[in-house]
Amino acid sequence: MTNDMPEDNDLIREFQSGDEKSFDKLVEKHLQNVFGFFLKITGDKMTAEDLSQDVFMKLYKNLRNFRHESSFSTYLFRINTNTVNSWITRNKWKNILHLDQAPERGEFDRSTDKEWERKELWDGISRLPKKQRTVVMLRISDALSYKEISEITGISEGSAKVNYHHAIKRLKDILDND
Amino acid sequence: MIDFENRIIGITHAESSGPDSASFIAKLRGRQEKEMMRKKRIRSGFSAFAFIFLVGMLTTSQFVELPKQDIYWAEVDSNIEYFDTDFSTFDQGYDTISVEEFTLFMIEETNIWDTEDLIYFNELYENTNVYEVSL
Repeated sequence: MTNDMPEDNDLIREFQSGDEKSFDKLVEKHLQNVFGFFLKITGDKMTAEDLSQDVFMKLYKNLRNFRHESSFSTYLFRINTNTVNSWITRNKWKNILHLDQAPERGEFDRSTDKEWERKELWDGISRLPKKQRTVVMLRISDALSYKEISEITGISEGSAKVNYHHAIKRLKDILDND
Repeated sequence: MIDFENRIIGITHAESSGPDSASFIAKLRGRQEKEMMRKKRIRSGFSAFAFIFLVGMLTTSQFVELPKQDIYWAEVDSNIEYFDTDFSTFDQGYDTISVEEFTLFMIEETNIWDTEDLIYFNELYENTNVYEVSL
């Protein structure tokens, strides 16, 4: 990945040799990106923070076994997507979206209208198949290239493009019909 | 399609400052601590269970099965004398003991009906003897 700094690997090695402070530095460095990723998806600060905590907890548990075969940011993105996918499958969506309590459409308040659209969009995304959902989330929330997406998800670049295309088409249908 | 993509990117756009990293790390450490405690509790619970199970197994393995045999009192070979009375003396010295003495003994032992029988049989014996002598 392009934004991967050599410092990450150094911090990981230090952590692997028993320096706990290096992990804190790693958290500090990547917290905003991870939090931003979840905030775009959930639209809720508290939930985004909870999910970020989940990600760093998983990272803490598994970082000692990190073998530096892939870049750290790819590894982190994989944890992000797995976390958000399991969160979606746990049906937490329903709780956060409160679709039954969504504001009425057509009101003049633009911020409310945007919020309604945002909820509707993420409801649509949560209904997509896992692969399409993952590709769309990475494309929308972090504007990653297909190459980067293929590295994270382990699918080919072509497959990522096709999945994204199908997902957008389906989302368009969902949003237009609603 | 591109318009739609731009639209959804616009919808998801969220501008917000992230959490304070120091408090975030503190929370993370707290959560890690909790997780460790939970794991410790599970581990100690499991080892306690394993210990109890082991002790139970060792105890039950030492039980010896008792022979299943019905014991009747009649089969018990015992030297206990249940009726330790003077009957034995009477048996041994039947020839020497006088009937009167025995009668007295029986009365003392309150076996009144037996005594009565004995007196009756004794009279019968004596009478028979008298009759035989007279023949």
